[in-house]
Amino acid sequence: MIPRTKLPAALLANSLGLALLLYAGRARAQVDLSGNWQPAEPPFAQLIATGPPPGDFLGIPLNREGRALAASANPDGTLEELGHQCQEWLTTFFGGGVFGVEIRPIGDRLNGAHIVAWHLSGVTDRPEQTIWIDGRSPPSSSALHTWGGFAIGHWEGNTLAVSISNISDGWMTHNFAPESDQATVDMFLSRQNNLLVVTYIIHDPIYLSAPFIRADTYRLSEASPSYGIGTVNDCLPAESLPGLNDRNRAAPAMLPANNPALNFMMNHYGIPSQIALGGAEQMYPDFQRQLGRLYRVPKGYCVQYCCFAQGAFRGDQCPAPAPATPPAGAAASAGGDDLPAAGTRP
Amino acid sequence: MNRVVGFAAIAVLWAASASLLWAQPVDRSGQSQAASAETQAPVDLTGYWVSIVGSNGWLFRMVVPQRGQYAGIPINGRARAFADAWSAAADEAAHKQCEAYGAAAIMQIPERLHVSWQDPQTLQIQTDAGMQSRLLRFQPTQAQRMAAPSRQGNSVAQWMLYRPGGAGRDSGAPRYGWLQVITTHMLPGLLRKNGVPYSAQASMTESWQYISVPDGEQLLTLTTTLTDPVYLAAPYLFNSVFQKQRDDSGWMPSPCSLEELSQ
Repeated sequence: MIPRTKLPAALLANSLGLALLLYAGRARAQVDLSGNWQPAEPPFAQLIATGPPPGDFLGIPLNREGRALAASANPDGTLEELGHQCQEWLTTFFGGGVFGVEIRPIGDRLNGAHIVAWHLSGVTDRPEQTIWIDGRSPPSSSALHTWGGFAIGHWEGNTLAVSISNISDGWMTHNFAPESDQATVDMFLSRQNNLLVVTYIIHDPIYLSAPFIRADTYRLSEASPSYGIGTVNDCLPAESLPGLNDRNRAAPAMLPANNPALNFMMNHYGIPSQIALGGAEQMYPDFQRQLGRLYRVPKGYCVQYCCFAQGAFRGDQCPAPAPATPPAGAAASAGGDDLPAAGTRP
Repeated sequence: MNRVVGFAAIAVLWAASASLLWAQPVDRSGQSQAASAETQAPVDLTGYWVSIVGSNGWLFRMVVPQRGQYAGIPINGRARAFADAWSAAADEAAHKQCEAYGAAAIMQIPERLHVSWQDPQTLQIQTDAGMQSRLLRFQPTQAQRMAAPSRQGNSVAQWMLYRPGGAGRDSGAPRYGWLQVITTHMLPGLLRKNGVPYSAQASMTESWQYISVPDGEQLLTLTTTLTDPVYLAAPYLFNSVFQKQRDDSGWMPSPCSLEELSQ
């Protein structure tokens, strides 16, 4: 029995406790993203594991500069260069890999029930990501740029709307579509029961002529997270390519005219290389009409990307396709510029 | 005096507690008996939308894959046998080209959508590609649920609503949510125009997520999960992204056709 004189104090304590309890419950009541999320499109994993084929930038709104760099990408050598051996993929590669992601809340140091950020795990060569939802401002554009960038977010219903800035330059796809350090990303993580739909939009004033939009879906898994073995923090670059040991540390150049990767899409899918280099107009249905004027059914055909194995371009193991002659007009750029056609010299 | 202050503090704390108790944010109660789906809608989906064919799947969406190219779809042996024997010419001759525009495939085709409310409980989706029409019914009648199988099937829709702070329906607070659509009673059709089939036993669950991008763009991300005990060895999941248009620019109704770019 509580003495009458102590009743107000007891009520006050109880009320305070109840208020704190409910406040803590409210803080926790935002949509819960925590868990181990695995790609929900396993059939595509066999394609994603090796990334898009070399020279396939279809549907990516690259501008002239972006197409020029994409045309110079060397699928065999780029990652072997000393400066790139220990490089991680950018945060924009989040949805492009076969690895899942483990998401955990980060609580306030003083009040653990108050979530101040969400943490997305990294894997061997993909950076981890912390999305701050405590209202902080992004750093200056001249502040440190990292592969993961700096992410802030806020809730819009079941969706965590994220804005990522301060990203290092790198590549937005596994086959080296370029991304500059001025790129920013709008990412939306929408939880729908046991699915997590991630929609992201890359804005890059240097290499894109329009926002690059894509979506990926993950499924909540009860299995252990699939981490890669080791991290790039343990990476020590080593000389592995001839020509890198000389005084100038010259990297092997891959000019568009000499890049065999640019023939891949023509030989195997009938897509002229100038189209395969991407462009904003390719994202829309109307492009089918333009494509119809340039497309030719390939005579040699490789089912299921069979010439593209284990992340390396194995051109030497491809069945020899019949010579594919680009149709008239194929050399005309679909992207508004005039890069030389693959296999030809300007 | 101290007692008065103490009771006042208690009253304030209880009032705050009550408001917090009221403010639990998740509300997935679905539809009110009184409110229509149109008035319940957390977002306005009406208008014209255009497919964004990004890098993921571009090759197989913009160009019809060659016979034998079934990558990305978890078909079983029966489906493979069907597709290997399938003939576009035979389907065209039999006027079956609209089999490639059924509900299970139509949202993957590069196209434009026209979304409108047919009535307060029915959202209509029209496509320019193949000139198809889907009806998403929020309160279907028993007759509509049991209707004979059709190309676009029977689609039952539900808003999955989320009200920040548990605000009441009439509070004027912003509402969020996504649309869940379950489609059954589909006629057999094609997932790709190279013969990959789905059967009359297939069923489909879609989530429609509206996204407002800071630069003013509006996107619709559709996630579709198709199950088919006849032709699929596992559920087939794919995403389709649409971008809102200001008007009907580019809207170009065209009949079903299998004679498109083919590898």
